[in-house]
Amino acid sequence: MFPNDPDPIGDMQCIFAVKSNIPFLVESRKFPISFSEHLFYTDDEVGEYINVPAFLKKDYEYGIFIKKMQVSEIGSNMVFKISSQDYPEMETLRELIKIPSVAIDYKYIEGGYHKTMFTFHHSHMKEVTKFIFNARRSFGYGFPEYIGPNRGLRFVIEKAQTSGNIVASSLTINPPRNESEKMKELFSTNWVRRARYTSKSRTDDFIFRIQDPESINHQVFREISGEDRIYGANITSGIYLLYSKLVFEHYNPMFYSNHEYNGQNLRICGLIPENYGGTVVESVAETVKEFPDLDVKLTYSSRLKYDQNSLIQVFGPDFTT
Amino acid sequence: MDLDAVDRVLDMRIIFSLTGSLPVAEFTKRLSLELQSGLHFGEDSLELSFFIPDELAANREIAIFLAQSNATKEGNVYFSNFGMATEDLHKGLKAAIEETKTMVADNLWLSSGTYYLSCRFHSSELQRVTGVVLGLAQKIEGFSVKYLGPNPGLPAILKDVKKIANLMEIRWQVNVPEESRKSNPFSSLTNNWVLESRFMTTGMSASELVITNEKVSDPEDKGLVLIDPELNLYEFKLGLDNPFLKGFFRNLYLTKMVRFCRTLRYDNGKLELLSYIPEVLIYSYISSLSGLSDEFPEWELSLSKVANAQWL
Repeated sequence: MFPNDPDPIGDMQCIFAVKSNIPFLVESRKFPISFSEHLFYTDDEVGEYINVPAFLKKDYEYGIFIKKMQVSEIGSNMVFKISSQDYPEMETLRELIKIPSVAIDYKYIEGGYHKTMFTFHHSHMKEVTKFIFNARRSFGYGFPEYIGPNRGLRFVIEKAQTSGNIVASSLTINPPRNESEKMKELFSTNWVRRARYTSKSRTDDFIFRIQDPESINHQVFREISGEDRIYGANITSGIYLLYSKLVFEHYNPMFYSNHEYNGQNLRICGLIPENYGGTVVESVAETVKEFPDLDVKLTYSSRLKYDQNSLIQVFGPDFTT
Repeated sequence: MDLDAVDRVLDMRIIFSLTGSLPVAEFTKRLSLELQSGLHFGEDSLELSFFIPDELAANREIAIFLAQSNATKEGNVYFSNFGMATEDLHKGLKAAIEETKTMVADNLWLSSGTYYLSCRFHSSELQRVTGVVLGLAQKIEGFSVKYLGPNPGLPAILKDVKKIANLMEIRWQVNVPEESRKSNPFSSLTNNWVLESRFMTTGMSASELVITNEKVSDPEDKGLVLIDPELNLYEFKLGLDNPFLKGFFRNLYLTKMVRFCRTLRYDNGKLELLSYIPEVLIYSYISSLSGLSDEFPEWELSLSKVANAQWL
């Protein structure tokens, strides 16, 4: 786990680019930066919160752009929302999420293109192809920029840092033993898991790599690839549910969220634009307020940078050599 | 068998050159430019298209050319489907292709008013190729051979194209339905083969080179010409009676698709295709595949790789 590459649960990766006439996308082409965004997903709405960096605010044209787009200010950050209620083509993203092994790595806007970087298991190549063809049609213009082996954390950082600094953070908790039967099932074996996407209403949709598949309840864990020990399940602890709810309340665009359970501790890792870094600590603090007995440790937090073919830990020892 | 099986067997390369008189050749001469191009052979014509880096669009003459040829732009490259080539160019290239069995047209470029065409061929045809070269030198003014020697391999050849029009490697595969296996090319060939298209064609006729895993029985009856018995290398006119392949090639023609390394691999019912496509044309290529997938759902078309051509 961070700062090293987390377990690549999906062996394949795709970057899918679409163009559309959404004014934000059209107008944003003028600026030489990319915008990170995060998906939200409810039963009646699919959309994105675009993280609008403030560092260009002094630029005259950028200032006009922000005013014209009526960007919302949340704390010290600026957010722009695109929803399927205004742009029905966004509904197509639901099809992507329905593919059981898909996990969104990162979403961003670059050169007027909406780009979605996701990983998946090779057994779903046909379903991913179908999604690409359908999305191309509903957006009017789209193509895969990449389909091939999963290139892991370094590549996610390389792309994400073009929209600003990226912080990787991790914390560990001791999951309480007195929770429900379902929790006992969750913690019956060691695993790593990826949050498949971010959503205000659904923060429990994961793909797992299970260490000992014989010990799990196959009613709860749906097999994706028995050979690679990959399973899908909608299961998590009340603590994580609260934590992720708080994260959403702060419009925290956390992405690439990986969790690891080693039989004792649960380690939660994620990437986040640096300007939102403070909200992680806030969310943890509020979670601890609700669960005072919780043994929480913030174990890692650092700006990561990809430069000259290696991943650099900005404020720490060089781990790449 | 690997998808580059044909490339490894074609041991020779030749680069022809001839001077051009089209307006586009004129301005490459005046401005000392080099443009990479795509070419499509038709029955009675040769159509050219050009890849033009956008920094050149600042030049008024080029801007007019781009506007007149309805050029499309993706990233920082324009793609202009230019139209007909001169008669000399058409005649020369057609002879090279028709009078030989193994010559594969790879890339055409226009540099300071001169056209260059790079082809690969099998050394068993050296005498025939010499005949073609001598014939063209007599008929076409300004015709010359710039290189004749070992084939450095397609990756090295495409390096120059990649400098101008970023190339994407695209692989996709289909399951050939039982019923279709009874038609050409599946019924004529063996259960395992690799094929490379010799050139891009605007018409429905095409010529392919194919390497099979074992001897084909009665090759002549099936329209196959044996080139090398040890390699099981044949020249083959791909009969387009198969609606799926016909649909695919028709689409490529309609969209003026430019493909490099046009290979197909067949292995017991699975057909895999590999091409290198200029980035500027990737949307159009994916759209063609999407249409094909809708029209032939039983073929279960699935993409398997899209990436920058890293080996270049």
